[in-house]
Amino acid sequence: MPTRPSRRQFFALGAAAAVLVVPASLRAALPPAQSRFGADDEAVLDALKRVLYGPGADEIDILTPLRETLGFLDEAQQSQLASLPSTFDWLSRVLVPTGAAFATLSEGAQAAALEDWLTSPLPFRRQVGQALRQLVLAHCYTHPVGQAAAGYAGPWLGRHLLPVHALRFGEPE
Amino acid sequence: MRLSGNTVEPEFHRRVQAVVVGTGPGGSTVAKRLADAGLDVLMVEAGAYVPAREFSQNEGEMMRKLYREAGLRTTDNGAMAMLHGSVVGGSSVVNYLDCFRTPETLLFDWVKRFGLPELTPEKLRPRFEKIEEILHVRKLPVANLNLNNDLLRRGSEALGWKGDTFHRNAKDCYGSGFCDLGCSYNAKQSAAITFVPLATSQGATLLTDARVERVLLSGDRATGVEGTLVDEARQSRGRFRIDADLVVVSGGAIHTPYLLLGSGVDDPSGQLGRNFWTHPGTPVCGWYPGQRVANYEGIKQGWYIGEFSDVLNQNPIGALIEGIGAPPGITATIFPGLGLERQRQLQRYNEFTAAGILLRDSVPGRIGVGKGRPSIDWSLAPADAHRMKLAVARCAEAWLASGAAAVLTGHSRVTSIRSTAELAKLDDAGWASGEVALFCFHQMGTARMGHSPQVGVVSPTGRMWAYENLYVADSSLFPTASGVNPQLTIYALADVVADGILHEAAGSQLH
Ligand SMILES: Cc1cc2nc3c(=O)[nH]c(=O)nc-3n(C[C@H](O)[C@H](O)[C@H](O)COP(=O)(O)OP(=O)(O)OC[C@H]3O[C@@H](n4cnc5c(N)ncnc54)[C@H](O)[C@@H]3O)c2cc1C
Repeated sequence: MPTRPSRRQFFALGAAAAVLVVPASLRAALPPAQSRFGADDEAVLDALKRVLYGPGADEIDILTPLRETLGFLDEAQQSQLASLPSTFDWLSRVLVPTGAAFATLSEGAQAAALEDWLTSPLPFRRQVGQALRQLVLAHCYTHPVGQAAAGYAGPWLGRHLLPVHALRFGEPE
Repeated sequence: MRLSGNTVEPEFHRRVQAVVVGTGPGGSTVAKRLADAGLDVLMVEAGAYVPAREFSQNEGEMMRKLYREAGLRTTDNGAMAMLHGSVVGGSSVVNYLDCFRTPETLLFDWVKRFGLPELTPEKLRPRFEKIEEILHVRKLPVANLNLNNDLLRRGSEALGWKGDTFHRNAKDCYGSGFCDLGCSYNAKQSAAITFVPLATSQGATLLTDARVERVLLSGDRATGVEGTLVDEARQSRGRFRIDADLVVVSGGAIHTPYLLLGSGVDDPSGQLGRNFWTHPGTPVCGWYPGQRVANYEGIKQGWYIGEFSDVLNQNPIGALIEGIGAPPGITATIFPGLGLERQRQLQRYNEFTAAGILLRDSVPGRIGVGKGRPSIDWSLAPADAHRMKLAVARCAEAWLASGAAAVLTGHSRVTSIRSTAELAKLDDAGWASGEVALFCFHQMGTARMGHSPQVGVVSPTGRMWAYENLYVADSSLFPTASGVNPQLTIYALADVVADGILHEAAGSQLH
């Protein structure tokens, strides 16, 4: 179960809500800065995976590669990305005030909440929604299970494939 | 000689005649030319040296290893993905190999408006010839188009539109289709296997895994660079300082201004970081039910439609349409919908073609110094959004003309276009941030060349106006967006800068 936001988080949330129309200030107002995903973030990412990927999502581990991806980022981007899922969660609670954490909602409610972000008239909400959507989907479909489901055979290497396209390079046409 | 920040002593210090920051097309060209001239050159590269045997063709792993910020970088407003390589060879390691000489109409404009006499087509021709020989540039025969690109060709030819196969810098290409994840077969003649080793074979040293954080300045001279050594996990493990008589910054159009601005350079033009051109792109996919297109198999970029280009064909839309292969991770982010609905669409992944629009933007963005990273201030101007819409419509027409049952765009709201009558759907598609998938593969401008500080950040030889020995040599030099894939232009401009350095600085000031 995700923990309830701390007082500091609530403060950040209030500040964030107040500046929703000014996305740049919003970013500054929405710490806590962290360099890796917390349990709340991972719960949100996992829930998003189910909503976005659909049936079979349990076979796909996106958290391990996502943690690895974070490790490759510059510090500033690391902290921005690492707190994106919980930022999404806190703001969802304010904007759709059920009080419940995203990860605890029913799948139908999660899908509706996500759609709400993706189609929001507020650019900032669309951006956050899209960023999470892209992050999760990219990691689902770079996973061998997702790739196989899409009919993508994956790397040639290790499969000892002969070149499919025997190209005749050398002379310009 | 090759050194790595991962293994050198944690307080690394060298003195050389010339230090070059970055090893993409720009940096590697200058490094080679200066080494050829007998200078003691050191190339500093933030990324790692990744040999072909380590290109695993695994999308997730390679995005992390080869791209800056694991390929997740976007503009500050999140509107557009910013893809660029950070590895020995820079983006030339992950690019699609398309080669265009700078269009003549564009060169005439640059010569006239920016006072750049060295950039006439006649003067650049021998440079292009030399570069193309090193990069092994050849025109792709039509017979080698994969089905994706061939369907684009058939569509555009049915409509009577101008188009052609690309020239590519490849040698013995198998068409494995993993160009954007690094070529495991070393068929792609990237800077990493051409200009960089040509420089080291002439005595230049390559220091990898070393991020330059500051250009050291003293009065009207640059005295070297300093920064952080990083380990394999890109974490800091030490510091380095390179003292040099000559500093060349070639970090690409985002990191060059970021580094220079962060170093507090004097910029009388006041334009450093401005004029950030991006060639904004968006995907357009055709659906061919029952046909195995597998757009990612074979040569990913083979055919382009030049009909709507302003620089190639004086068309006011000002866009190229290029066939492109999209691996599943990227494709999944383009297809709209959630859960089962989207999953069903992706099960048809192999039946989809893909092309990308490459728009010659008319309103530039700006690079600045953000919190610990470059800030990228950019949004799609309404006039450019309008031209983008027209280009998407033309691309959709091409797919429909070659038998597509439907066309899918990168918009989250438009589901599909099944006939030319339905192209009107694009009017309500939405081009604001978060409403459409936009990507940028070509970063340009930000330290443009010009005959005076009123016009350019650097002189026609690439020198920062306020310094005797501080040069820029990369895509930052572009006075405007090139309108075609930029790599050959970058190699050529860097070659011009190398001449300038050898003429202006090397003779008199190097110790
Ligand atoms: C996926 C993709 C496909 C592309 N396809 C094509 C194509 O088909 N044809 C074409 O013409 N162009 C293509 N391009 C664009 C082209 O590759 C680039 O425009 C070109 O490589 C830019 O060259 P550059 O020298 O300016 O910079 P880069 O190639 O970006 O090289 C800059 C290097 O400097 C290093 N660096 C930056 N800052 C520092 C620092 N502070 N310290 C140390 N090192 C630093 C970076 O790590 C990087 O390796 C593509 C680009 C991408 C990303």
